Amino acid sequence: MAEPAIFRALLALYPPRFRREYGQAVLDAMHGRWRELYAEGPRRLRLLTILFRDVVFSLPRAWWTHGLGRQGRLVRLPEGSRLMSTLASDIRYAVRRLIRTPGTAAIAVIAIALGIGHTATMFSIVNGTIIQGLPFEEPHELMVMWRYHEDEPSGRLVGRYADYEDILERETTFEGIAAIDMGAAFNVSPPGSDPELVQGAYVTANMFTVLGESPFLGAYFDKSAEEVGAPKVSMIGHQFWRERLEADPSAVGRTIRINGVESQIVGVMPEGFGFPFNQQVWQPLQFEPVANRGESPALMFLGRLDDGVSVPQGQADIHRIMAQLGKEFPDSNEGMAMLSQPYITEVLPAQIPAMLYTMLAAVSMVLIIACANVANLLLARASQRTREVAISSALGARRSRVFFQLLSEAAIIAAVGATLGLGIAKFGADQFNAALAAFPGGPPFWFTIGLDPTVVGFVVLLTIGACMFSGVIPAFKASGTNPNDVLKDSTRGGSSMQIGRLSRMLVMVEVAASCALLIAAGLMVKSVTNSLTQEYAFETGGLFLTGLALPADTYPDAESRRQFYNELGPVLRAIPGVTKASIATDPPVVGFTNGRFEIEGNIYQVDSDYPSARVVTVDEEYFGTLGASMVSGRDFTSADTADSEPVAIVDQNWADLYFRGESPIGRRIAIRGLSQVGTSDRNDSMFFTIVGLAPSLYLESPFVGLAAEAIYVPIQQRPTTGLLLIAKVDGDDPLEITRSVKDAIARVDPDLPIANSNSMDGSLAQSNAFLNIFAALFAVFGAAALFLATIGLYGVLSFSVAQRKQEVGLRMALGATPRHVWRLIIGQGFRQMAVGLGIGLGLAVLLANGLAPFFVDVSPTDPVVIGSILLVLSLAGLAACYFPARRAVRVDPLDAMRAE
Amino acid sequence: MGKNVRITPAFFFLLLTLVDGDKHGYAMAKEVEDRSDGSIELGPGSLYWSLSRLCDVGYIEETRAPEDNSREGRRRYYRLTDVGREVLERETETLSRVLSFAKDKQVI
Repeated sequence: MAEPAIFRALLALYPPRFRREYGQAVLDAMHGRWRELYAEGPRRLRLLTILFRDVVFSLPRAWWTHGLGRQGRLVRLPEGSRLMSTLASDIRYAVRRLIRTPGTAAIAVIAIALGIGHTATMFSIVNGTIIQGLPFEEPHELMVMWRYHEDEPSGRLVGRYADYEDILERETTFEGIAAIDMGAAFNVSPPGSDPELVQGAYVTANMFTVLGESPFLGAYFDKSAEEVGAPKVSMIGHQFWRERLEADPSAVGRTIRINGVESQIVGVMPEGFGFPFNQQVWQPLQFEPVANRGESPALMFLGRLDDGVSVPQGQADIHRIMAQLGKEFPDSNEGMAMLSQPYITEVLPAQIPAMLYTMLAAVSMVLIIACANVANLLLARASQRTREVAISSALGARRSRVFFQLLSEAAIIAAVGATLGLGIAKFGADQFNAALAAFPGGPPFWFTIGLDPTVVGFVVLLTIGACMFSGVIPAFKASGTNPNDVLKDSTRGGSSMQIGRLSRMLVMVEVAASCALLIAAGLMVKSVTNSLTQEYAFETGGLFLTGLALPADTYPDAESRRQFYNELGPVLRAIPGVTKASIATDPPVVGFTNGRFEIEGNIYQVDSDYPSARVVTVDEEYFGTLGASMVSGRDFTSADTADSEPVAIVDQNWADLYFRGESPIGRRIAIRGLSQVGTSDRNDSMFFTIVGLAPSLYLESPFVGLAAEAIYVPIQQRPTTGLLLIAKVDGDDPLEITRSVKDAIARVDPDLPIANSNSMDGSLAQSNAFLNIFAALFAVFGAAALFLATIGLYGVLSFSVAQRKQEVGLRMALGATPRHVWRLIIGQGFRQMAVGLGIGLGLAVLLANGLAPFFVDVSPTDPVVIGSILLVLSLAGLAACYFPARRAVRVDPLDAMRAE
Repeated sequence: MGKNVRITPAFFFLLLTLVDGDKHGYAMAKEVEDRSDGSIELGPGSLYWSLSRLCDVGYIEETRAPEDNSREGRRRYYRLTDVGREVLERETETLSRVLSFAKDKQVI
């Protein structure tokens, strides 16, 4: 359990006097909160938010009142105006000193800006995706429910409408439960423009009240709208209303065409509402009773727990009902159970927060490096000023005054750096948003990544932290100097030796952190290069892709869909500029469909035993359009129809994995379609005979759990509604034909919109967008870290050479050769490097394991990447040592001795 | 000591919790949270900082725990001092005048 460690860490931020007096009580109170929150379920985030707010509120106050009194007394701060004038003069003095050495000041500011900028960028991502959470009241009460078979608790099945009605009647722990059908295509035709594919959902009328959201205009449809035959009215999203209806204030009451039917708008949802994921149209869910419960429509259930009911209590209630239903309806419900879990885990499974927090930890290393650098710079300056400080102390300046003077220097650097850092964070967040927007379907509606007050608050905390880390140690060191010691010794006091040791340790920290970051960056960059330089078995240029969804109302059965394909094919091929065209479900490489299958003759016990592969439905033109030819066997032909023998093509990856060298041709496989999953009858599979072996067109995509192996079946034998059109186009820009494709489709069905039109090259780039942005982030983090660490090493060595000038001079006077001197200085630098790199390698292993889901064909311990990073760091280290060493060699022994 | 501190809503609530008897810090925070309908949420650091301020100005003082058999034997109990009670009465009076003024103006 990590919490107690966090509590102690937070407590450590408070001034010592406050801690002595109240530390134990504060810890007890933190534990109290923790126990209380955990009684309501795992509420780590809520706890962290409370603690975070608390720290922001009380930390500055506690330092103000319990500040720097060393003997447990309050520091008597000068009264009113005197305090202000002291502070102002300290700041003026600090600014003057910084301006006197603009180079050093600039490096320090840039270092802090990079550190804070990167950390804030990453934090704004974590904040926008995880910390802010769902924008509903009491979001932790919202539960999503999925069915599963008791034999296979990890499998997730959609709910059934029949179960929904019974659960609604029998539950005792929920304020309300709504049912949502997300799999619907909404082809919307706003007045006077082309039809458009809009994400939408059929929902029960109570969904809006379960969520606790009020409409922006109009009112929700009510229960009566759910009756079969009631007019299909629509709620629309704010964004749709703004963009498609010109924010018409009298939009309520207007009608729009949805899936070919006129629908009256009854209300507009408020800005930013897109439940469950990114929807913009909601229509009432209407169901006719069905004879067989197992065949009733597939739904997602969303419940809100009653006040005070815990997640496990709600789960127990649902379990009880499902067990009852299992007994009452053994045919459809035997062995079926239902999982009720917080809705947020639906979009953010546990590994994503873990990964984002890993990245945040990684990035804070840049900040640590930056602070260590600034601390070193200030230490070097402080030790140059030891005499000045000693004299002013001897003249009666209070220690606290000296301390604050030095600290104000760090504060100014941190503040200026933080301001620049906010700019960097703004840029980073914008880039990330751009990458998110390119993701198919867009980001979930509540992701708002930007510089909101929480992020700015975090930056303020970081700034205070950076100021403390980089300023307090030098300030203590310098202000703690005993005036007698320094004034007695004409040049070097014991204190400067201590400063030297501290500096060296800080450099090791820097080297370790940059080593870890650079290795992570290297692995990410290699992943990107791997995916970019991938050789495909087809020509990616000149291909046009577009999506199409057939609404179930207009195309209810296999026959109507086949007819549509048969009409559309020739029309597409007749478009000027199009040489070949195909109707399929997924594009090569970037497709999204995974399915489970079985090989005839093999025995599978539970659903998860069935192997999974990409299951792509294609017509006979598919491989020809891509310009890919069969490795062996035959392609689909127009003779493969609904009535002929079911056939399939598998790709090379699939054959390698499941038949290891043997030819799969002639063997039979069955695809487990959605309708079979979860039904008690597990033997209704339709077997396809493998007739062809195609080249591999897919990559493994572990991050989204997609396989690299693919199975193709003819669209005539598996007529589906979610389609992808591919056309091979003459000319440079395949997207030029978009308009003609729209017109061609309109000739077959005027209500059908196309969506996500793109070129093949474009969608390849898009599918890499996330990887690219993370790799870019890491490359920048790594480069910044390398830059900072090199400067740090250089700074410390230069300083040490300057300090050891007399020693070096003496050694040379006593007969040391330049060779000895080189070895002396470079040896010192490399000892620090070696320790730093050792620690860095350890950190890198931790970091790389956390990021492993991102990697494409790269092992977290890739020797080439790690080797080259170590080499680069060593070279940078060597360069950092070279100049100070050269200066040392050139020391004139006489000169050096004279300084004594 | 003896200096003044501005009575913020949080301080006011904290003082009020002690009117009907001595309490330990965490219990005070919970009561404040309940009675303010969660609008004043005192985290651990804020709570003990506030208590330290109220102690400094002498409105409350630490007191011996009443027979405390709970696991956490080291809980810190607080009592309202006479000064604190006086301040509380004065503040309440001011507030009630403000309240009746607001009522006259039909703001509430």
